[in-house]
Amino acid sequence: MGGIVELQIVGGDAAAPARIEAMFAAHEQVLSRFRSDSELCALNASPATPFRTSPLLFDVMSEAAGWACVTGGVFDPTVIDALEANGYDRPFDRIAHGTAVLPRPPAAAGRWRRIAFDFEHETITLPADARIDLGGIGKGYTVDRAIATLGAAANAMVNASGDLYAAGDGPDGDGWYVGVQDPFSPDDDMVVLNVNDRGVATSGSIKRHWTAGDARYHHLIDARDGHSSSSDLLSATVVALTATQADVLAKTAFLLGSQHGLRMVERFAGAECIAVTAQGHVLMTTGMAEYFA
Amino acid sequence: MNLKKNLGTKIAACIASIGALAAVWGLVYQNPPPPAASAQAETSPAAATPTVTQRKAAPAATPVTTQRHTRTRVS
Repeated sequence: MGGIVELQIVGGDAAAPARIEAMFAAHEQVLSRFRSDSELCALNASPATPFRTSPLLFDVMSEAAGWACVTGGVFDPTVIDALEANGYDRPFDRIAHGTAVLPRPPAAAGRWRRIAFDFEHETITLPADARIDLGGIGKGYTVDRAIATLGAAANAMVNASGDLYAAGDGPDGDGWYVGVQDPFSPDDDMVVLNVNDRGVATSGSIKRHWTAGDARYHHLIDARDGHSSSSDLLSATVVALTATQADVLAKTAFLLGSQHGLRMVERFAGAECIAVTAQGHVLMTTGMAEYFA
Repeated sequence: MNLKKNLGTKIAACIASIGALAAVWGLVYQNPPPPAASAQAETSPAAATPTVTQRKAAPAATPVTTQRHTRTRVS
């Protein structure tokens, strides 16, 4: 999934790390758009046809469509053509600055509405003009599944490149301490959170960006116009009930920007957000400070 | 002037005035002064919710522990 997965387990069984590592590998094999033999690529190659999926792909797809609905299409798993047109057509570490950028595809927001799910036969039918990228939800989803394998009483933390879930009371019994990256000084924390039984994720444009000519591109696409978002935020960090929810809401908050993003997060029970604008202002939802260590 | 006329009313008014003065004294001297403007959170112009804080105010207002088990970051 393009990064390092960190696992901390307090107590628990010794076989858990290997089991979780295998789970991440299995999920990547199903959900990656960069593996030509993945199940997702097979689905993308079969538009306008009922495609029988594995339970995993069906579940992640239905979650993604559900979040697209809940966020009014701000979170949109069908923006893959815009990503590719902007140059993100290969794993990020292989994108070279100065990469060729194709003419923008016409904006076609709302294609996620035309994805058809057949729950009885577990088939998915994509619209003829839509392909799927699950990069916006796959890591959070897998983190949640990994934690679930440890049982309800788990005291553990799974962190997939910054998208994490902290279960239980932590190694010292007083919760898990989670540093939040300062986008102006990426090696430093701007604040440390103290959480238990919460997902945490951060989204922003400071890492996955590249240039073409004089233009700067990044991977967070505004589905309304197919361009890299011109959000006034540099990063958005969300604490939520699950890692999936934190992952999706962090991206959505970033895309909506300072004016609407935090208000959107506040609509979700148990979700809080801290965001940093390009001007250096720190914005928080009203309950965020309760998580400060 | 007849000072004895309505004496009870005058005494009651005097006591009420002293009580009001005591209340004002209490308000002025027993409550801490408001924080300096530079230390206050800057409220969002859009009102109605998200707390907006100047960047440099957040660490000062928030004791950051040196303990950290893991980290969330832009990926």
